[in-house]
Amino acid sequence: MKCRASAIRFLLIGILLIITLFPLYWMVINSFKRTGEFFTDPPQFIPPRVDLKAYQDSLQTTGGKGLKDSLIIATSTMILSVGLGCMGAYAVARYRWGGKNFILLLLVIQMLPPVSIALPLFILFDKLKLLDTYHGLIIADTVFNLPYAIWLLQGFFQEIPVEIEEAALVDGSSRWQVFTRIVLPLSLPGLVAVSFFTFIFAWNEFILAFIFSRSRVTPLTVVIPAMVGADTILWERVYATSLIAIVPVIILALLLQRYLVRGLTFGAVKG
Amino acid sequence: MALFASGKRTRSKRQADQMFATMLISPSLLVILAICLFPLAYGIVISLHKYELALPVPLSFVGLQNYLRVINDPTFWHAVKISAITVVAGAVLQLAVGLGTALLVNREFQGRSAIVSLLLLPTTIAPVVVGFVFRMILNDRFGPLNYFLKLVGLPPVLWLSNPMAAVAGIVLANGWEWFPFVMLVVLAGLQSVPQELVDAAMVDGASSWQLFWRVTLPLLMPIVIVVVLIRAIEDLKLFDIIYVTTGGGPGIATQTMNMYAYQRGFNFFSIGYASALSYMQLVITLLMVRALFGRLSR
Repeated sequence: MKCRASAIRFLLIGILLIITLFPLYWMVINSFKRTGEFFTDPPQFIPPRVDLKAYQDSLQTTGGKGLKDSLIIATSTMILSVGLGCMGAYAVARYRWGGKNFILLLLVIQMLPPVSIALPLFILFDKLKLLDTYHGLIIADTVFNLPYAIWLLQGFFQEIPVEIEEAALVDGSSRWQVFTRIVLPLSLPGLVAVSFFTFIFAWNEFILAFIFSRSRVTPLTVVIPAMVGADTILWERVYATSLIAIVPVIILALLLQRYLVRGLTFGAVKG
Repeated sequence: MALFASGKRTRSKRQADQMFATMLISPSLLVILAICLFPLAYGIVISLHKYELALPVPLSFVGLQNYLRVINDPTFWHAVKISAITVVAGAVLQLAVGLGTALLVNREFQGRSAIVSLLLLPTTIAPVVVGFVFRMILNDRFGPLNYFLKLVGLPPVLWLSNPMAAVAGIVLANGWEWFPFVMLVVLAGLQSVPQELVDAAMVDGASSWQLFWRVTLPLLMPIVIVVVLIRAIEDLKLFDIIYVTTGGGPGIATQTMNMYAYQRGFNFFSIGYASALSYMQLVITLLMVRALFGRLSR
């Protein structure tokens, strides 16, 4: 009885793993196929060849530029969101700045329909010549990351025993020194988790990038849909570029799994 | 809270505290005011105007006329319906699979942490990419999903060309990406279920089925509601997967509120009307959150 129950359990876990991994496998094998091999009956589950031609083609055309732009935008957004966010979060966590209303404002910003903010921003950015620039996209991405960063970080700061900070204040440290020399080093895991998160958010962001970019600034999420032509789709290139876009994040996720788990669960469990 | 913001601090110290906090928050506040709240207010002003970028009509103040048009627009109500279906079906699917998976991997076994990391991978993938994979997996004639359905003797589903099936296809693709998030949060919640309670129920002869429904689930309820709330808010904003897989089609079958506002604003350039649409969506979002929060605090 016990044995059968655990056999069923592992069977179910196996099925879930297949469901989770199959789309990734499908992407990889289709990046090896060529025109005419994508839509066959029955579908081809074994790649006809293994080569990196599609990846080379992608990197030499729009994919390479996309990778560079994604890196610039996601890294800058991460630095800005975590930099501004940790200061704001400390004011909220220790000095109760703004009280409940400010927290509520942060939550409402998370609920805003993308178009409600993208549309007026589009008009403003157009007037300010910020469309199709790194600055524009970084600023827009930061706004949508900042509330989340503040919310997560203030939770991490509250876990630090307040006595440590008080002792330092009594010993004559300034408030700023307490923040930079005691609080920030102690909440390093939280900072890593939030940095990782804001990076992924900005890396994967689509609608703002899609609306605000033209031809000069084209992150990967914009480059991939642009590979769909009027009547042909270069599927091998779409999937090669997709993998170029997701493999760095997957590697980071596996390396930083502990932080990923903390970041994903923290907001929900604490909230 | 002894020293910070308490009576022990002298008045001048507390004033200095406030100064320091305001200094810390001001950069964030400035960004939020300038790039979020100001555009939002500007958007409300726009929504009170007839503002057409693609037509040679002048900008003119029309009061609440755009909102009245939204209320009388059958396409908007269709979009509300599609949004509601994707959010509700998505929540049910993600919760069922996520909760089930969490229960499956809750107990310690060899390779557990590796399996959990693999299961988590979909949540880190760009939704645009998820959309492109599922566009091929769900292909009516040549997609692997219909091939598997045929293998087990089920009829093929016209995933992307039948209106209802297309909605289901999007719910599936989005569910694939997000059920691991539900799993993870529920797993965290399961760790806070006191082992004594479980043991006591076992001693009293409860079956594992009873244990789940009578002990575990009631204890998990607050966290389940929070995770449903987070997913509902996010799924209401869903854009990328729909844009890539169906583009809102066939016809308007998968056009959510979000897609409709986008189309009006950025394909037809009816800026005023699209703004009104997006604010109606915000109102609906807030009502939904209030309803769910009401359940949470009860």
